[in-house]
Amino acid sequence: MTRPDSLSFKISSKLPKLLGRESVSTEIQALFELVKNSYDADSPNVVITFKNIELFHDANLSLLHRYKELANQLKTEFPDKNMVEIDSIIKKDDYYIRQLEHVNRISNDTCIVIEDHGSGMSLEKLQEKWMQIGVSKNENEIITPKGRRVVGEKGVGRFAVERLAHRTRIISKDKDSKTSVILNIDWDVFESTDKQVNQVKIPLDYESKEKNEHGLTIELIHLRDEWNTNKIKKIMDELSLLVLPEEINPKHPFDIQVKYEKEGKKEIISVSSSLLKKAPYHFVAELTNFSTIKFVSVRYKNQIILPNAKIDFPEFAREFPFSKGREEKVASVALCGPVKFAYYGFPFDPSGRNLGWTEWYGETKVGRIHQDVEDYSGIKIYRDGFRVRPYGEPGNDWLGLGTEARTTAGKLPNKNVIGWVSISIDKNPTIIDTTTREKIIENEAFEDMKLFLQEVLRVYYNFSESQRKKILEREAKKDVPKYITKLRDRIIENPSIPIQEKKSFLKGLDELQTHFVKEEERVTLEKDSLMDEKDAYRNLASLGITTGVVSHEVKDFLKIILLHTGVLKREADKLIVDKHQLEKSLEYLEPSVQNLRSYLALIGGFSSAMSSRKKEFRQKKNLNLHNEIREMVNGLTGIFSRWDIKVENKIPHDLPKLKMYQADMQSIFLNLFSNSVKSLRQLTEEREKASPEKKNRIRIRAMEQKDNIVIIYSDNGVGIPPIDRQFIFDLFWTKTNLRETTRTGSGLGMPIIKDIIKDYSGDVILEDNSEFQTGVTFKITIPKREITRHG
Amino acid sequence: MVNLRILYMEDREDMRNGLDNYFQSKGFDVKFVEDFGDFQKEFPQYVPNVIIIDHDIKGNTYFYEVFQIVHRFRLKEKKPMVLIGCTGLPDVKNIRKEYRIQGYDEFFENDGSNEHLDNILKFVEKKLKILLK
Repeated sequence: MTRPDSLSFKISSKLPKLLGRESVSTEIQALFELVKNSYDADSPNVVITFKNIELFHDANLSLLHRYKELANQLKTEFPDKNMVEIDSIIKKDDYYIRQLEHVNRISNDTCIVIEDHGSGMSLEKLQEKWMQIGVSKNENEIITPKGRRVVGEKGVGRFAVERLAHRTRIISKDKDSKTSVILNIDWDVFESTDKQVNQVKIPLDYESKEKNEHGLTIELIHLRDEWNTNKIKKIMDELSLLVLPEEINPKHPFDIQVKYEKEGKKEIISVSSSLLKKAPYHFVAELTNFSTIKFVSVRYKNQIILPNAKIDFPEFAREFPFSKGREEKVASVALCGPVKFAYYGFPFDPSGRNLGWTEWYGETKVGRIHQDVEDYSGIKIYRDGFRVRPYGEPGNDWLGLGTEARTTAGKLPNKNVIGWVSISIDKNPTIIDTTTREKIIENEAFEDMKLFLQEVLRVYYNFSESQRKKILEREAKKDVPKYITKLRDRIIENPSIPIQEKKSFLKGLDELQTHFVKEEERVTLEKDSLMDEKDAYRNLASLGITTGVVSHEVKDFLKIILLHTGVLKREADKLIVDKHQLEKSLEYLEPSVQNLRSYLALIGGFSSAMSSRKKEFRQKKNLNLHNEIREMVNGLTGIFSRWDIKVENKIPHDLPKLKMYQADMQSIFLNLFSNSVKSLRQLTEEREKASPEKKNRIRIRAMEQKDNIVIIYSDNGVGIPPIDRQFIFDLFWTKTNLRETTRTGSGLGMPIIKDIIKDYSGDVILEDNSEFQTGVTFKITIPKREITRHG
Repeated sequence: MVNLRILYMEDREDMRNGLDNYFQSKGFDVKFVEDFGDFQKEFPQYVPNVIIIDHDIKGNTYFYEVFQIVHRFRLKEKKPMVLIGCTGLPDVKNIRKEYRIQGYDEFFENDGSNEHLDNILKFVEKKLKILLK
């Protein structure tokens, strides 16, 4: 045999599988690649239709269900058989076989059709570009004829079809041709043959077409994966980045429509752009007809700041007057009329720094987003929906954003901002074009509009700057050890530093790094511990307050015990014992002992609840409010009966359990009870002969609302005078009881209650009117999401 | 010997029972009144040697009002009477100050124990000795 003088590569028919199923990781990625090709082909749109997938899904589900049923049955009947044997029996089951055949039939009919109206490919282009492995049809182009940046990966798209389906039918309609070219590829043939890839013939068909018809239709038949609504939603999410927002009026928009069946109904969904949703900074502000400025919506990343029930950023909540002036700004009428301003800010991580923005956008998406933002950046002006040029065109920074900018910061330069100002001919007649219509006359009205925009940006920057500081603080904390590492590397790599000195430097750096890490841990621990301490003191203070308030009653219990033990002793010493007196004394002793016992149990329970605050036991409990109140009332039974106070526990037994520290729950109610006792005991005498409804009462109700748990606490005590109502939650405010000669208030009770409830994101208010004719009603509202398991 | 008479203002029945037992064992006659209204009724009729009032009567205090009545009577009738107050409250020192300023003979802590009751009695006997000389 003659030895060859050269060798050539041969390509196995398994190559499509290698480049398809074994290279393209997911079906979603594969589908995305195909749609990218449509985009690169300058198609104005693409329609993706999913056929028979719901049918297949349902049939497959039935098959699986049948399998599970049989498997369970067989496992019970034949506990000694293993899964392989059971599987083999199941596959001989008649019903299973019929169902499997049914599933396979439908699977053959499952199909995804991707249809675009791009340039299409002629037979020659198909041969030279599509059928040539390793070449992208736009290899030397990074911008398409319509100005789109090419997004498809080179040469990958075609084998995405192999990843998705057993068979592919490609119908290509080139705009210059009268014939469609139809390629029918059966990928199973490639797998089953030993031929080389270029030896496998792919059948071609031809069909006549209208001359103006153009585009590519790819039919993916007999899908390899099961598709469902969730996957379709995921693919729409990926595709949303290819679509640009309407508001920025792209020159050559790309529309994507997805069609599929859901519960027997045909769904047609247009994929909308997610670009603006990705903007971490966003707000909409208005200059009103009354020349006031207000923010209409504010968002930071996923946090909706405005509108929101709980306003933590008052600068966005208030409406303030438009003002202008050379030296001093005064409230003025804005000559421009009402204006709306929408702002989307996109910060990015600078090179070498990780401020979290890449993670926010997604590592695979950040590049695309960055480019899109730059392409469409600037603050544009729209009058009645039409662009007013040149405002916001590339390079046109008419608001001067660039001069104050820092890309990492909240003050973003023009190229990191997409925004628009909306005006109209009717509402803004003073904003007029120049005679050449090249721009707007920069009169006072125009200047007022600019002032409004700049003022809104100034207010917003205060917020975004504070966010930036938080980010930098976090970064600095993470980065100190990194800087030490960098310095370390520099020292190691520097040959001019003598070895001994190097060792000494490195030792010092190691110590510094260790110290820094330890210090950080120590500060964190200390902070946690201080928070624990503060909360523990708060709970202790509640216990102290209650003890102070009820000390008299507790002493009364002791008084009776001491007095009557004296009586018992005296009687015991007598020759003739007065049995009646003995019985009487024992009768008096018993409740006092019980009351003291209950009270001490309450205190003991509180102390043990306090331990739930300790780090090692830090656990909130699921508390049944009705039962907790009942226990506390039991503990204070002697005190309540001393002052003839009836406590009505009207909390439903089935109120959702509240996840709280028990010490917090007890602190709240001990403080409320203490205040009520102080208030009600003054009225005990005058209510002695009153009817039951008019006697001393405390009532506690609670209810579950849509978003909140609401607790209503009322007493019919002396109440709080209107003039004092605003102070009750202030620290150390107390009201002297005129009938008592000493102050019994510490001024801590109500502030403690408010502080505790705030920890659960709730609030407590004093209602204007008590539920009873006199006294107080407090309303405690706590969001369910903070305090219940299912919130 | 004629027993000395004590008029004691105490709103609690269990206290009245125990105190009665104590003072009786010490040879005193005790009359109890539950509130200031009762006091106004009983005082001119009973004409006690000793008036003891508990500081807390159903959540209120009547030490000023009681003093006015007793003081007027003492001046008019020129009858020696010992007027004292007592409490189980912890803030005895401050309350004592007010009672003394008001004109009471003394104010005592009274936790119901024999020790405290004995203190009260010791003072009463000493004071009466002086007054009755």
